[in-house]
Amino acid sequence: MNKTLIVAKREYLQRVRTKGFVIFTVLLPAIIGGYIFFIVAVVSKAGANAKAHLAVVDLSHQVFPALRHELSDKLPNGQRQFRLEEVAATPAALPAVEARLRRQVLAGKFTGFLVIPADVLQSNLAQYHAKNVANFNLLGTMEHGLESAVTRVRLKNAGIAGAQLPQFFATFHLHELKVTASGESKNTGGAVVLGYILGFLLYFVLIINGVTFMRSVVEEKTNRVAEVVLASVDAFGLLMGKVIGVAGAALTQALVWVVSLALFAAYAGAASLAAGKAGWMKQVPHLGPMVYVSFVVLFLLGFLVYASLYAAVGAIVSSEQEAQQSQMPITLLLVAALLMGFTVLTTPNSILAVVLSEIPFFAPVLMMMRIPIANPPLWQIVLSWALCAVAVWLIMKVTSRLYRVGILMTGKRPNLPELMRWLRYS
Amino acid sequence: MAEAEPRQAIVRLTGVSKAYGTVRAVSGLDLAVPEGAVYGLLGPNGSGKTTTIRMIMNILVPDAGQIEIQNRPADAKSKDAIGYLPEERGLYTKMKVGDLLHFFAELKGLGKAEATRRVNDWLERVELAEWRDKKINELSKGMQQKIQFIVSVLGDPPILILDEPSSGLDPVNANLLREILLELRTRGKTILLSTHRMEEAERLCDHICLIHRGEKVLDGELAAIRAAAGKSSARVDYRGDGGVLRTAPGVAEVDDYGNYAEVRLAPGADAAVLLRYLAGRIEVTGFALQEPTLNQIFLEAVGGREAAAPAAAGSREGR
Repeated sequence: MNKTLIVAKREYLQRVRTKGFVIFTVLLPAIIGGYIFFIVAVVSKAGANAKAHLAVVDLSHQVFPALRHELSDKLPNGQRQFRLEEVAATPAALPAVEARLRRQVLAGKFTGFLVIPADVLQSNLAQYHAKNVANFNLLGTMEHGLESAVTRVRLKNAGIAGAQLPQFFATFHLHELKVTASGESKNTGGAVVLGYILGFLLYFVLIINGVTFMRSVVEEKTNRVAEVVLASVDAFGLLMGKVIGVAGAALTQALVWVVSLALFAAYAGAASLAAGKAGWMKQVPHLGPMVYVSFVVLFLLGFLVYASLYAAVGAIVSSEQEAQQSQMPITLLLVAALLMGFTVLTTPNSILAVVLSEIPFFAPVLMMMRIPIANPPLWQIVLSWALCAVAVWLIMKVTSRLYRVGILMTGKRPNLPELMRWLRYS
Repeated sequence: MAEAEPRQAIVRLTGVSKAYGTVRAVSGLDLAVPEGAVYGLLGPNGSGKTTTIRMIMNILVPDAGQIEIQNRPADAKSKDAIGYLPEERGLYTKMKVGDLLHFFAELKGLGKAEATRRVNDWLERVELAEWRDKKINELSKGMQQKIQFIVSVLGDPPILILDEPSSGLDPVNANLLREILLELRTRGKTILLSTHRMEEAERLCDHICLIHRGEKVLDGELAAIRAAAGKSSARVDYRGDGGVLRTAPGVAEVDDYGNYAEVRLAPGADAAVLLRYLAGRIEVTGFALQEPTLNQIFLEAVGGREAAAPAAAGSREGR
């Protein structure tokens, strides 16, 4: 077997076997999964309980029938969500009626009561009294129902009724069509999120693995294993093997997360289909295979680029504390990519966006965003991959030179002129 | 000096120099390690031994000069022919002994079955077989040292380069190491070892190279070097005040250790005269003529150079 691969295998196995890795890889999806199960359970339970028994004081004497019609939605279990009871009152008797209803609400007879004023058609105002006025779901449905009921009454007063009515209440849809070289296709709006998902995934995986990886590079130097290994492999092979090994571990972790999240999403999708609330599923885009291939390739290349930067820092510093301090700028680079994402999203085909998405440090996030929304030509995608690979190779070339000198030096951190001299030494 | 053209040189350095910034670690070093020899690279601390070895291992790149291994310029590939024990030891402390040795065996290109066989044999040989499934950091320093040694011989390489191999070993394990080294020599391996302990080199090596401040002072077969120096030295065991040795007739130099002294005789001096002179003044319990020790040879060779003092300090440290 190739020596670099032997080093990579050792690095991968050592990393994957640590308790920290196993815990993070398994625990995170377990927590998220548990959270989703919890939400689904709560939502379906809350849905069953969201029944409301309302008293309605209709001083306008014309809205109540229309309101009953609007609030006739049924719950999944077949029961009506709203039970409405009209309570007669005159403006003069209103205070007394309200006092009685308040007592009944407190006693639990009604969930709450609505007061529809006489001038509701002009004022567009009504009052809702209840113990709990923070149930936004209920309030929203009620408000929407009142609005429709009042409109219905207005239309009727204007002489429009019967079969003509439904067309006034038809829901409006805007269909977005994306123009591409291969004709027009449906928009894949949700795909934009992929770039961010990749960015954040990369960020998390780097936070978890980057520093420990850099620490292992420093440790190998300080406890002098490096010299033993270098008796069999050259510095480039050693570092490249380590970087490939840690990238393999990161990919394993990411795959576990992505696959388990997909399973949870499928579960949540099935659950909301059953609950008849699958509207959000229309947001899930249908993506071409290129997007998925790019996701895996760019994740791996992106991790390699950043891991090689960590290796470079590890090769220069001589203690773990120094390594901790020096990792900040690297993660900032990734954060910068996420921030630039906003610019790229709004003008994905501008020259700036194209150039930024080709830069190896930003490509994983920005190219991933552009692929679904901007349909960049294939050469741009492949070029970004190639540039990432070249960047990894170059960084590792320089790093291995620094490393050769670095293993034999201990003590203070070298300054820039000293680093240049290190490059010449080896 | 004794420049007898040896057997085919398996490691050869020609005019090798290396400087760190303004410090010259090695300058113009020529070296020829004959195949099958136990070759000692000697010198005080900081004389350039480790730098030389690191250049042979292609870990450092020389500023000037050529290094040839098995008649080919040294490169990454020539590492396969060499087993290396660095001066500063280090292992992956969180790995199990067996896993670690298998990793290094794989790096040396061994197949799985062969690796398992050799790992078991060697662990058996150094009496650590029952530690195979323990982690390195559970082992004592001496045990780690032995594991480290196994790493260097695991690939059964024709050349073995050991930087201060016995440092940190107790006498029992130092003995074990010597046995193994002699056994490897009879199997035709070439062994290049560095040490600052002259008496260790005297026991083990058949060839030596003395370096001082990065320059070769003398090299050749140990027997030839000592023969050339002649039996011009005497060991005097005594009780009493050793101060009289310095004023005795025919004495050029004295290394007084309290219970005995090594006396370098002036050219043409008669040992019998010296013995008679001493007998009347101190109690002489032993008197033997001998070839000069490596230490004396070294001191003499460096003596002419202005840097004799630190060299002497360095070489005594090991006693």
